[in-house]
Amino acid sequence: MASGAFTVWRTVSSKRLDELIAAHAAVGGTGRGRRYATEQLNASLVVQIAAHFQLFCRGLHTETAEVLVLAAPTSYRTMLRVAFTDRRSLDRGNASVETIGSDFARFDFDIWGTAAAASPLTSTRRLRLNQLNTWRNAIAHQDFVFTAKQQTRLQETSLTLASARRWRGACNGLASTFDQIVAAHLTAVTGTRPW
Amino acid sequence: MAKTATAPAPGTKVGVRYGGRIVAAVVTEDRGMVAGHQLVRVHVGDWDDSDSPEFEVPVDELQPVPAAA
Repeated sequence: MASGAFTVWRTVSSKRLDELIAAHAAVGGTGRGRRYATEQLNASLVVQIAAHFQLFCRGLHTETAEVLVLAAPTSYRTMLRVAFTDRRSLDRGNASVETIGSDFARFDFDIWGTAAAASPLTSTRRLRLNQLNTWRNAIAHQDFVFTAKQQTRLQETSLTLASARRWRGACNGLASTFDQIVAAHLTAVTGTRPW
Repeated sequence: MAKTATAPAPGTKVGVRYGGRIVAAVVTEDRGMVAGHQLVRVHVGDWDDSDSPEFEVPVDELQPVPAAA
Protein backbone atom coordinates (compact mmCIF):
# COMPACT_ATOMS: atom_id res chain seq x y z
CA MET A 1 0.00 0.00 0.00
CA ALA A 2 1.01 3.58 -0.59
CA SER A 3 -0.37 7.00 0.30
CA GLY A 4 -2.78 8.60 -2.14
CA ALA A 5 -0.17 11.28 -2.81
CA PHE A 6 2.46 8.71 -3.75
CA THR A 7 -0.03 6.88 -5.96
CA VAL A 8 -0.76 10.12 -7.83
CA TRP A 9 2.99 10.80 -8.13
CA ARG A 10 3.61 7.35 -9.63
CA THR A 11 0.65 7.46 -12.03
CA VAL A 12 -0.83 10.84 -13.03
CA SER A 13 2.33 12.91 -12.45
CA SER A 14 4.58 10.29 -14.00
CA LYS A 15 2.39 10.18 -17.11
CA ARG A 16 2.51 13.97 -17.50
CA LEU A 17 6.29 14.00 -17.23
CA ASP A 18 6.58 11.08 -19.65
CA GLU A 19 4.50 13.04 -22.16
CA LEU A 20 6.99 15.90 -22.08
CA ILE A 21 9.91 13.53 -22.54
CA ALA A 22 8.08 11.93 -25.47
CA ALA A 23 7.60 15.39 -26.98
CA HIS A 24 11.33 15.94 -26.58
CA ALA A 25 12.05 12.78 -28.52
CA ALA A 26 9.51 13.72 -31.18
CA VAL A 27 11.26 16.97 -32.06
CA GLY A 28 13.33 15.80 -35.00
CA GLY A 29 16.35 17.16 -36.84
CA THR A 30 19.72 18.51 -35.79
CA GLY A 31 19.51 22.18 -36.74
CA ARG A 32 19.22 25.31 -34.63
CA GLY A 33 15.43 25.11 -34.71
CA ARG A 34 15.51 21.75 -32.97
CA ARG A 35 17.96 23.01 -30.35
CA TYR A 36 15.69 25.95 -29.49
CA ALA A 37 12.65 23.67 -29.30
CA THR A 38 14.38 21.16 -27.03
CA GLU A 39 15.64 23.96 -24.77
CA GLN A 40 12.06 25.11 -24.29
CA LEU A 41 10.95 21.55 -23.60
CA ASN A 42 13.77 21.09 -21.09
CA ALA A 43 12.69 24.28 -19.31
CA SER A 44 9.08 23.09 -19.28
CA LEU A 45 10.17 19.71 -17.95
CA VAL A 46 12.11 21.28 -15.09
CA VAL A 47 9.14 23.45 -14.08
CA GLN A 48 6.78 20.48 -14.35
CA ILE A 49 8.98 18.18 -12.25
CA ALA A 50 9.14 20.84 -9.53
CA ALA A 51 5.37 21.44 -9.74
CA HIS A 52 4.44 17.75 -9.55
CA PHE A 53 6.84 17.16 -6.68
CA GLN A 54 5.24 20.09 -4.84
CA LEU A 55 1.83 18.53 -5.55
CA PHE A 56 3.07 15.26 -4.03
CA CYS A 57 4.47 16.95 -0.93
CA ARG A 58 1.30 18.97 -0.35
CA GLY A 59 -0.84 15.87 -0.82
CA LEU A 60 1.27 13.83 1.56
CA HIS A 61 1.10 16.64 4.12
CA THR A 62 -2.70 16.84 3.85
CA GLU A 63 -3.06 13.07 4.21
CA THR A 64 -0.75 13.05 7.21
CA ALA A 65 -2.76 15.83 8.84
CA GLU A 66 -6.04 14.07 8.21
CA VAL A 67 -4.83 10.74 9.62
CA LEU A 68 -3.68 12.48 12.81
CA VAL A 69 -6.87 14.55 13.07
CA LEU A 70 -9.06 11.48 12.76
CA ALA A 71 -7.04 9.68 15.43
CA ALA A 72 -7.70 12.51 17.89
CA PRO A 73 -10.81 12.98 20.04
CA THR A 74 -13.62 14.65 18.11
CA SER A 75 -13.45 17.84 20.15
CA TYR A 76 -9.79 18.34 19.15
CA ARG A 77 -10.24 17.97 15.41
CA THR A 78 -11.11 21.53 14.37
CA MET A 79 -8.15 22.87 16.35
CA LEU A 80 -5.76 20.32 14.90
CA ARG A 81 -6.81 20.84 11.29
CA VAL A 82 -6.08 24.55 11.58
CA ALA A 83 -2.79 23.95 13.39
CA PHE A 84 -1.62 21.45 10.80
CA THR A 85 -2.73 23.16 7.57
CA ASP A 86 -2.94 26.93 8.24
CA ARG A 87 -0.63 28.95 5.95
CA ARG A 88 1.62 26.06 5.03
CA SER A 89 4.83 26.97 3.27
CA LEU A 90 4.13 24.27 0.70
CA ASP A 91 0.96 26.10 -0.35
CA ARG A 92 2.90 29.21 -1.22
CA GLY A 93 6.37 28.26 -2.32
CA ASN A 94 8.41 25.52 -3.96
CA ALA A 95 8.74 22.13 -2.35
CA SER A 96 12.20 23.05 -1.11
CA VAL A 97 14.27 21.40 1.59
CA GLU A 98 13.21 24.21 3.93
CA THR A 99 9.47 24.26 3.20
CA ILE A 100 9.18 20.47 3.39
CA GLY A 101 11.12 20.40 6.66
CA SER A 102 9.15 23.20 8.32
CA ASP A 103 5.70 21.96 7.26
CA PHE A 104 6.29 18.37 8.35
CA ALA A 105 7.77 19.65 11.63
CA ARG A 106 4.16 20.51 12.57
CA PHE A 107 3.72 16.77 13.09
CA ASP A 108 6.66 16.68 15.52
CA PHE A 109 8.56 14.96 12.75
CA ASP A 110 12.10 15.53 11.44
CA ILE A 111 11.45 14.44 7.87
CA TRP A 112 14.97 15.12 6.57
CA GLY A 113 16.76 13.51 9.50
CA THR A 114 14.51 10.48 9.27
CA ALA A 115 14.92 10.29 5.50
CA ALA A 116 18.71 10.44 5.87
CA ALA A 117 18.58 7.57 8.35
CA ALA A 118 16.30 5.57 6.04
CA SER A 119 18.33 5.96 2.86
CA PRO A 120 22.01 6.80 2.26
CA LEU A 121 20.95 8.41 -1.03
CA THR A 122 18.99 11.16 0.73
CA SER A 123 21.87 13.66 0.91
CA THR A 124 22.45 13.44 -2.85
CA ARG A 125 18.73 13.62 -3.55
CA ARG A 126 18.47 16.64 -1.28
CA LEU A 127 21.20 18.37 -3.29
CA ARG A 128 19.39 17.47 -6.51
CA LEU A 129 16.15 18.95 -5.14
CA ASN A 130 17.99 22.18 -4.36
CA GLN A 131 19.39 22.21 -7.89
CA LEU A 132 15.96 21.56 -9.38
CA ASN A 133 14.36 24.43 -7.46
CA THR A 134 17.19 26.81 -8.30
CA TRP A 135 16.76 26.10 -12.02
CA ARG A 136 12.98 26.22 -11.65
CA ASN A 137 13.15 29.71 -10.14
CA ALA A 138 15.61 30.87 -12.80
CA ILE A 139 13.20 29.73 -15.52
CA ALA A 140 10.11 31.17 -13.81
CA HIS A 141 11.77 34.55 -13.33
CA GLN A 142 13.88 34.37 -16.51
CA ASP A 143 16.88 35.29 -14.41
CA PHE A 144 19.88 33.10 -15.10
CA VAL A 145 22.41 35.16 -13.15
CA PHE A 146 23.33 32.89 -10.25
CA THR A 147 24.96 33.86 -6.98
CA ALA A 148 28.30 32.29 -6.07
CA LYS A 149 26.50 29.90 -3.71
CA GLN A 150 24.05 28.91 -6.41
CA GLN A 151 26.86 28.41 -8.92
CA THR A 152 28.53 25.99 -6.52
CA ARG A 153 25.23 24.16 -6.04
CA LEU A 154 24.62 23.94 -9.77
CA GLN A 155 28.03 22.55 -10.74
CA GLU A 156 27.78 19.89 -13.45
CA THR A 157 24.14 20.71 -14.14
CA SER A 158 22.51 22.47 -17.08
CA LEU A 159 19.12 22.77 -18.72
CA THR A 160 19.45 19.45 -20.50
CA LEU A 161 17.35 16.34 -20.63
CA ALA A 162 20.09 14.43 -18.81
CA SER A 163 19.96 16.83 -15.85
CA ALA A 164 16.16 16.77 -15.84
CA ARG A 165 16.22 12.97 -15.69
CA ARG A 166 18.56 13.10 -12.68
CA TRP A 167 16.28 15.58 -10.89
CA ARG A 168 13.23 13.47 -11.65
CA GLY A 169 15.02 10.40 -10.36
CA ALA A 170 15.91 12.22 -7.15
CA CYS A 171 12.27 13.26 -6.68
CA ASN A 172 11.20 9.67 -7.30
CA GLY A 173 13.56 8.51 -4.58
CA LEU A 174 12.51 11.19 -2.13
CA ALA A 175 8.81 10.53 -2.75
CA SER A 176 9.28 6.82 -2.06
CA THR A 177 11.30 7.48 1.10
CA PHE A 178 8.86 10.12 2.37
CA ASP A 179 5.91 7.81 1.76
CA GLN A 180 7.53 5.08 3.85
CA ILE A 181 8.88 7.17 6.72
CA VAL A 182 5.68 9.18 7.11
CA ALA A 183 3.71 5.93 7.28
CA ALA A 184 6.11 4.69 9.97
CA HIS A 185 5.74 7.95 11.92
CA LEU A 186 1.94 7.79 11.76
CA THR A 187 2.03 4.17 12.85
CA ALA A 188 4.14 5.10 15.84
CA VAL A 189 1.83 7.96 16.81
CA THR A 190 -1.57 6.38 16.18
CA GLY A 191 -0.82 2.67 16.54
CA THR A 192 -2.37 1.98 13.14
CA ARG A 193 -0.61 1.76 9.80
CA PRO A 194 -2.21 4.42 7.57
CA TRP A 195 -1.32 2.85 4.20
CA MET B 1 -25.43 26.40 2.90
CA ALA B 2 -26.85 22.92 3.10
CA LYS B 3 -24.37 20.35 4.25
CA THR B 4 -23.14 18.34 1.29
CA ALA B 5 -20.34 15.98 0.36
CA THR B 6 -19.80 17.78 -2.94
CA ALA B 7 -17.03 20.36 -2.82
CA PRO B 8 -18.20 23.92 -3.51
CA ALA B 9 -16.40 25.56 -6.40
CA PRO B 10 -13.42 27.81 -5.68
CA GLY B 11 -14.68 31.31 -5.02
CA THR B 12 -17.77 30.12 -3.13
CA LYS B 13 -18.44 31.96 0.13
CA VAL B 14 -18.90 29.65 3.11
CA GLY B 15 -18.88 29.71 6.88
CA VAL B 16 -16.20 27.85 8.85
CA ARG B 17 -15.52 27.34 12.51
CA TYR B 18 -12.45 29.35 13.50
CA GLY B 19 -11.49 30.96 16.78
CA GLY B 20 -14.52 29.65 18.62
CA ARG B 21 -17.12 31.07 16.22
CA ILE B 22 -18.38 30.75 12.69
CA VAL B 23 -16.61 33.15 10.33
CA ALA B 24 -16.94 33.95 6.64
CA ALA B 25 -14.45 32.35 4.31
CA VAL B 26 -13.91 31.70 0.62
CA VAL B 27 -13.17 28.28 -0.86
CA THR B 28 -9.84 28.47 -2.66
CA GLU B 29 -9.26 24.87 -3.70
CA ASP B 30 -10.89 21.45 -3.85
CA ARG B 31 -8.36 19.15 -2.14
CA GLY B 32 -10.21 15.99 -3.09
CA MET B 33 -11.01 12.92 -1.01
CA VAL B 34 -8.48 12.39 1.76
CA ALA B 35 -8.82 9.59 4.32
CA GLY B 36 -12.51 9.32 3.51
CA HIS B 37 -13.26 13.04 3.73
CA GLN B 38 -13.87 15.51 0.92
CA LEU B 39 -11.63 18.46 1.82
CA VAL B 40 -11.49 22.05 0.62
CA ARG B 41 -9.01 24.78 1.38
CA VAL B 42 -10.57 28.01 2.65
CA HIS B 43 -9.32 31.56 3.08
CA VAL B 44 -10.72 33.48 6.04
CA GLY B 45 -11.13 37.23 5.92
CA ASP B 46 -10.00 39.70 3.27
CA TRP B 47 -8.95 38.04 0.06
CA ASP B 48 -6.04 40.46 -0.39
CA ASP B 49 -4.62 39.82 3.07
CA SER B 50 -1.92 37.19 2.70
CA ASP B 51 -1.65 36.94 6.49
CA SER B 52 -5.27 35.81 6.84
CA PRO B 53 -5.82 32.24 8.02
CA GLU B 54 -5.99 29.67 5.24
CA PHE B 55 -6.55 26.03 6.06
CA GLU B 56 -8.25 22.79 5.06
CA VAL B 57 -11.66 21.69 6.26
CA PRO B 58 -14.03 18.81 5.40
CA VAL B 59 -16.91 19.81 3.17
CA ASP B 60 -19.41 18.30 5.60
CA GLU B 61 -18.25 20.73 8.30
CA LEU B 62 -18.87 23.86 6.20
CA GLN B 63 -21.54 26.15 7.60
CA PRO B 64 -23.85 28.81 6.17
CA VAL B 65 -22.17 32.18 5.70
CA PRO B 66 -22.76 34.13 8.93
CA ALA B 67 -25.34 36.90 8.59
CA ALA B 68 -22.88 39.65 9.53
CA ALA B 69 -20.54 38.77 6.64
